[in-house]
Amino acid sequence: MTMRSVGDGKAEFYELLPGREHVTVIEPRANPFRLDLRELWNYRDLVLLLVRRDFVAQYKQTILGPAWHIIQPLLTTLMFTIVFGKIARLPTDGLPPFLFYMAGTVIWTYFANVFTATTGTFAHNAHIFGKVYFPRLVMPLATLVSRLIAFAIQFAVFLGILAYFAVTDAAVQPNLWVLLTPVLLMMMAAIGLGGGLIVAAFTTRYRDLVVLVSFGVQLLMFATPIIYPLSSLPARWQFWASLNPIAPVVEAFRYAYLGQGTLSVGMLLLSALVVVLILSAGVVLFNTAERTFVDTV
Amino acid sequence: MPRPVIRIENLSKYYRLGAIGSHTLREDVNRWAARLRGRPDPMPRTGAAEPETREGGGIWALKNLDLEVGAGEILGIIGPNGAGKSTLLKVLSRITAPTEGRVTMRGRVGSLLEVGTGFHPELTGRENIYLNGAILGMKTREVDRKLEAIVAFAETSQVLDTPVKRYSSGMTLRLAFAVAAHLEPEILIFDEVLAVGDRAFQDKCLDKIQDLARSGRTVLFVTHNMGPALDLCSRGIVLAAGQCAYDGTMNDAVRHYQGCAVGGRRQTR
Repeated sequence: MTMRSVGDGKAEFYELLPGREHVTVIEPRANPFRLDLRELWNYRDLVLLLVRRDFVAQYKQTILGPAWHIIQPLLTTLMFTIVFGKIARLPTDGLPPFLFYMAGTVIWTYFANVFTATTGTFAHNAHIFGKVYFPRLVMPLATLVSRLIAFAIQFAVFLGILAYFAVTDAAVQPNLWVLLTPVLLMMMAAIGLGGGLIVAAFTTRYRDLVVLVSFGVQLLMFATPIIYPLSSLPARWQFWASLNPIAPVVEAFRYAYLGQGTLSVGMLLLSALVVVLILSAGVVLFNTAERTFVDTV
Repeated sequence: MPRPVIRIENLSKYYRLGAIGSHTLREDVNRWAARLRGRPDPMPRTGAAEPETREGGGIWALKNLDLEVGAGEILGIIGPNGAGKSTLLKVLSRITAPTEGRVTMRGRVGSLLEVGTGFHPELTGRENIYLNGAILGMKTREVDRKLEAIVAFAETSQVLDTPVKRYSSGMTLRLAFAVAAHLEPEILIFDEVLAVGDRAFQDKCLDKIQDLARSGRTVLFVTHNMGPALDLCSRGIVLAAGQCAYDGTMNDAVRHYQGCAVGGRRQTR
């Protein structure tokens, strides 16, 4: 549904009133490439309130509350350390396995959470979307922020454990690349959001995708250097593996904090380009799907 | 007629029947595969003989509807089930896009198609006022200013910090209506929401609606309940089969609608 500023169309109707007045024009087709950032900005309070709602509602009547944010990645890391480190004996670039897996888990979890939650945008909010209008992108953006809070908690735990290892283990060497962290996070958020929006747009037509998502995320994790370093792959596979836009980000993250890994600026730039494409495609498809999704869900 | 704030031109909304919601990826893949091999569609769409022409396989919930509503009008929309009343409100509320035509609206639109959309049972009344206000398009600062008035209107000051899941349905309704009534949009859209709530609160809501209209705001609402709400309306229309069957004063509209209903019943006998 398009919003236009005053000035086009029939004169008597659009005759200006004192103050700002906005005119809403509803038409069958809107330009899917148009992203109304000003309108989104007007709803920033809603984004914040939704983040608060997610956080508060998630832990009402639970015993451990937000501690779950810490327990979950710690248990995952512990399991990875035992299964892939001790039993399968996968290499970890000479790093302590626990730290290696934790770095991967923390950043991967952020991506996986944003992606999974975004794919459910239409399915989970159908009752709200069917009753009231607001820019639909508000919902995935709120998800992005609320998962960022979870990430921050996990990241703090990671930093604590890193501090211990940095003192006791010479192989662990955090370096100045950590300054790139915000960029890496933004890339992860953008892949999760963009990919999630693409899938969300298709779920309005194909319900099958809902089932595929959690399964797909798991498969994608094995295709990403989370439980193994990129360097452990045969040379000719390394190139193909780093075409996965998440791979260079994870490797850069690990290199920055642990001092070991494959940091490739060229691959990061290529990855950034792919990320922009995914995000744009996601927004366009989402804009198209949102206009009539209530008729099909 | 006062200055128009809503202009609906040639508005149509088409719903496909049968095929809706039956999509799975497998069906579509089979369909493509069959088309590639030049075979007929293995899973013909239900009822959609000619999907391209948009005939036969669906319903025009709205068909070439033209309507203008002026500032300060209270427009009541009545009509039989399936006449397109709710679809019209959904299109005006920007919940679904029309198939054809165009709507132009001047001013902020507040729509209340359901009471308490987005209310979260775990959050307190106060938290829900802010959340629901934001969903309806209010800023947090705006809610801050109106909080007292909202709570007073809803008569829920004692339970403001209790989770909404402990509220009675009447309390939830009062709170939700109070938030929407204080949105102060130039155009207010309702769908049957007054059906719940006790008589005293209904009267209060009707007074509030009257106040809004007196201050130059436009109110549109759909109703089946031929009760007191109708006395408010400065104008009434009857929708039938997606078109405006009658447009005039509310009393005449009701008479027209009841006349049609009786006539229809006679025909079926």
